[in-house]
Amino acid sequence: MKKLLFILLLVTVQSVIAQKYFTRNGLTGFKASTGAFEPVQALNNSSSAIVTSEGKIASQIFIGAFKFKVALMQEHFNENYMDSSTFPKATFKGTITDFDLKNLTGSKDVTLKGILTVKGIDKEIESPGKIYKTSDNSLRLTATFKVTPQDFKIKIPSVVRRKIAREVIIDIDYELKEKK
Amino acid sequence: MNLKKRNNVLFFGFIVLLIVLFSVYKYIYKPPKKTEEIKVVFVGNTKDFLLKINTESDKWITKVIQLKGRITSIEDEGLLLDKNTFCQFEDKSFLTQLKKDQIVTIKGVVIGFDDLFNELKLNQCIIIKQ
Repeated sequence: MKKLLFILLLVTVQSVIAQKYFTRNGLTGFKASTGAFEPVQALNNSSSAIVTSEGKIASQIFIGAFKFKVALMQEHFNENYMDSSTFPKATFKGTITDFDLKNLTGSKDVTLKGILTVKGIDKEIESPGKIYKTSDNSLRLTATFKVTPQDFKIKIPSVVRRKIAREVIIDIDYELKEKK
Repeated sequence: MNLKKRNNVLFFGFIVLLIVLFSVYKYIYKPPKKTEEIKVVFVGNTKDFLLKINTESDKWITKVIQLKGRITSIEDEGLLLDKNTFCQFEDKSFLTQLKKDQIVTIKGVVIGFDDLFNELKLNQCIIIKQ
């Protein structure tokens, strides 16, 4: 019991000491285009993320906030493929390895490791990323993930299969400010 | 039917075909509607809407609502109403005209509840009344 209390105390103390960086309007891009057809891509500038100085990251990507150029595509994305009313957001929880904030100047290559949850299905992913120190109290984190629709049981009808890439590229670009 | 008449019919048919193709093209490639053009499905204050979205969350995603509330903080990309609703603006020039503690009515698209910040998130917001 004492041990547990001690651990609890340690965890709370650590979380108090850890600095937090956050954004409410991170960019998340999504690309699933195949050469000759109408580009299948969208941009979301409403992603939320919190990064701690220990390198922990939690992020929420709102599916309904992906903006397409074409209304019909946006509608199909929300209703048929992503079912955004039942699963309004995708989440990513994980760690940024080699994240050393104190000695960070300029930019540094890092690895993002964690669980990406889309439509209620978890997938472990690991991707290269880059972290930039943009000022005393802000950071920028960029990374690229590659996933497939099958990873999250997203069915693509055979009629449009040739128009949607097998591999979907997700780009993130988050400008994070220190939370005070 | 003489040749001239036949040519006329062909020409007319061709024009009709062009019009049909053009309207189909216009329909398929129509850009998403702006907030101004979408009908509001809820009018009220932030507290009432939060109660609603907690009980029937799936009904409201991507719908447009109108909320009245007090500005509790102004951020780079939007503003926080009543400490519980974050409204993101596409046209950020609105933000400079607003002040903390002001009561405003905004219209925006519901994108979901943010567990990281414990707030409701609205997108493509516009000011209805200030």
